[in-house]
Amino acid sequence: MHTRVQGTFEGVDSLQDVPLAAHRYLVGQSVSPEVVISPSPELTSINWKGLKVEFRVANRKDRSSVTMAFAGIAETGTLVMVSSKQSPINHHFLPEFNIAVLKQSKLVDCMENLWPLIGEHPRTINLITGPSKTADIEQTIVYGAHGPRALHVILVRSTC
Amino acid sequence: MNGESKPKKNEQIALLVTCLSDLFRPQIAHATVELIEKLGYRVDVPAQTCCGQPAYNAGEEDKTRMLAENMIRIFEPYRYVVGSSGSCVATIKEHYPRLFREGTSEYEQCMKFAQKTYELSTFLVDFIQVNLEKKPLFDKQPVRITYHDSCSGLRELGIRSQPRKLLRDRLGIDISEISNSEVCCGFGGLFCVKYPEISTRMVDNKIEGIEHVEADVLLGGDLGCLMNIAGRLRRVGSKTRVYHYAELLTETVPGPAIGYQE
Amino acid sequence: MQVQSKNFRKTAKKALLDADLRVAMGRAEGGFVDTRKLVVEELDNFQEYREFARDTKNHVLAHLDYYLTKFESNVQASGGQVHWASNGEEVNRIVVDICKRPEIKKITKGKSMVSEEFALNAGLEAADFQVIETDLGEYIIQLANETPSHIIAPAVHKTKQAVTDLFDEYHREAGYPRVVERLDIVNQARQVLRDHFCTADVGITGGNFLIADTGSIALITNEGNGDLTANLPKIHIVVTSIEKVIPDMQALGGFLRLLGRSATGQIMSVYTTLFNGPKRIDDLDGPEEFHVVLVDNGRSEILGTQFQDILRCIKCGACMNHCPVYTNIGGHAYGWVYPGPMGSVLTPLMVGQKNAPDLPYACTLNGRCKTVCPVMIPLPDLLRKHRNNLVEMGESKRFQRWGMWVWAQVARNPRLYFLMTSLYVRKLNVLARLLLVFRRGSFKHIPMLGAWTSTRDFPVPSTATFQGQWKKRKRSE
Ligand code: SF4
Repeated sequence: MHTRVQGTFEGVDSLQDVPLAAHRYLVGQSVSPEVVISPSPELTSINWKGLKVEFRVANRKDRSSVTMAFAGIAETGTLVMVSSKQSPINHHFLPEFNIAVLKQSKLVDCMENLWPLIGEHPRTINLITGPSKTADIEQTIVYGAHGPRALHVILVRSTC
Repeated sequence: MNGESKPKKNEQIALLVTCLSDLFRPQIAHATVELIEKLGYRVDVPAQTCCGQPAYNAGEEDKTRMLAENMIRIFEPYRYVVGSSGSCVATIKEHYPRLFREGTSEYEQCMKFAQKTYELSTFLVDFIQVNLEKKPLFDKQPVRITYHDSCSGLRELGIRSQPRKLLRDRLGIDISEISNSEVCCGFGGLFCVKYPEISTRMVDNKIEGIEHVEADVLLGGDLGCLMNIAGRLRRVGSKTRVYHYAELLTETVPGPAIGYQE
Repeated sequence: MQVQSKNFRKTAKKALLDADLRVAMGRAEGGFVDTRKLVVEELDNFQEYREFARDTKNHVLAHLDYYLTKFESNVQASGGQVHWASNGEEVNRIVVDICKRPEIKKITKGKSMVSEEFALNAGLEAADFQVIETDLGEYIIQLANETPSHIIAPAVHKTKQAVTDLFDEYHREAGYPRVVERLDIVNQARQVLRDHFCTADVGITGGNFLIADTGSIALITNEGNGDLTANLPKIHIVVTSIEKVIPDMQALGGFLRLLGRSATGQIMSVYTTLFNGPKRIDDLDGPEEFHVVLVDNGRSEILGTQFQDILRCIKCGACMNHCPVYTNIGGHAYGWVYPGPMGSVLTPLMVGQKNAPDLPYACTLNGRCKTVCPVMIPLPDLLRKHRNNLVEMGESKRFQRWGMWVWAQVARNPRLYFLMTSLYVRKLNVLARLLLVFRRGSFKHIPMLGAWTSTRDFPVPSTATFQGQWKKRKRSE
């Protein structure tokens, strides 16, 4: 579903494989492998060998970000992001390239099954379905209106 | 209850003539009578007037109610009523009941009328389930026929496949569909004279579709729309001729098209 | 926004002659209609969702006070502030009051149709704030100093060429090149607006759904401009209207399935965001203040009337995309914020029937809008009710009223009707024979019926009515 909404996608076996996949993706996009990363424990604990990384809030100069998805919705290919001290909101919108890491165990089939997982609402819940786009010029779709031009999902299969 | 089980042989069926057919295109009413009689029923045409659709759409509810009461009375003795205009039948079936308060005897009468009234193609296909005999009308050259789905019939009565089936059975041909067959032709009763420019643009869009499939004949099930399209086609010098679908289902080759004379 | 609906006739006629508009609208119609059809057919219980949405909205409208109060207390519980505004002036005052601080100069704004009702931008500019629309379509029409012509695609009437010229005019000074290709146009807007996002002091957005149970605002966009507007500045103000409240998160899913599909033919819009109050203590970003302005502006007066159904509207735009009148004349002809079928129903209610007397008649009652509306609003029936009200108020044209009366008197009496119609066809036939030497079967001109015959032939009636012919047949049998 995620590819149908114009995102790109790949699967890896464990969190440790994420840096390599991210590197490959960025190089494939001809973007330098420098990323700003959300300070979530899963992401901070990985060895980001090969990439220049910073754990902080994104600003407008950052070209790429890596974020940790709270969950994914299979029905619509949607990434679910919840804001917290581990997950700044700007990472999803400011950079041109957004790489989102999603654990397979966090996939739900539809939105109705998502809400119970979230419980008490954080400041923002972002349901993101594909990269930013606009059809405001002659009803023809162009990607990367204001948010990321490209959204790449790395699905982590392992359950740990 | 009236109009629910199929009519028996020789049963009497009342014809809803509809004003426009009465005045401008009696051929449609004749064709309708012929089709019903051919099935072994008797047709009666009680002296009738207008169903009130123009008043209703103009927002004149009181006048419509008056005319509705009239029509209900006129058709009261019959168990079945058949008309060849989607919008007139939809007025009776869909809109009359809104003119009366539920629970009143007027409402009851009105519901009975609504239930026993049928548009010709739904009567033939959905209700009686006829299979018309094949009888090509145009023997010399193949004729390309297209269809305009008039809005009321399409959306309020669900008429789409029925006339197509009748035409396929009868003429052995399929409709050359236009992409905008379900888009309003711009007639809209009073609309076409209140907003002639918009209406003309809409009918021109329709004609674009018709020309795209190079249709020789355009058919439809509502004379108002057909007069609008035919009038514009003739004005712009098109070769396409316009008929009500019932006219192509009869035994005889249809005469001159709408807006033409021998 | 100034009400121009009284000029419908004139502006509609002018719009028909606008070749650019025709191209732009033709493109939009095809795109919206076809893509919607595909994704709607894919969902096998679309109709069930429509019924669910209709029933949910009806329920909420019947208990609006309850749900709004619940919503308010939940917004407050998450640290937000709620302001109630009964009309546009109050909204403008509330927003200006929030922004009146020395350090506040620039305001970015996401698309909000509600704020168009009372020209919020003009109000803010009058109070010396710089206001920048950030939705690309809204930005374009802000530069062009126009108003939206569609509720979800505000610049749908603009061609690419027009945007190229606009950008050239306004961006050249800042050193931007002239851009012609679509991608370059979008990129340039991205750059220009990026500066504004990052330097804005206040962000104003609308809200698509208000969730009573959690006090959340659901905001839906494709560009992501709403989120940048909401998250980067210190203050986030949501300007939204009271009928948008829904009970809970479970209901939201149903509405989202309908909205994306109906609006743009998407299974889900790109960004659906739920906002709950301001930045939390240990959050790393987000605004420090969160305000919700709940706008009534005439809506509560529609509650409980025969027009209440229109308050179910979720502003998806499907009715206008499928309206053969709208797609030919565009949105500006309707003369106020909301065009197309939903506009023709809503505008007279909000600005007064006398100020929009033509809108209820700007419809052929073809019913296509009603079949696509995700919340099953019977739009043609509501337009008919408007017509009925105009008649009862004595606001319909006297000529039409008298004509109808005479005709109804004739039509209620079958015998009189028979006589008159027989006479009529005979008269017209005589006229036809006199006038039509060369054109058999049709009139090219009929006095009094010029509105028809100026562009269309009119058929000559048969020499005898069907009922007359039938009588003859019966007599001979
Ligand atoms: S009236 Fe219905 S179709 Fe039209 S915008 Fe509102 S919800 Fe959408």
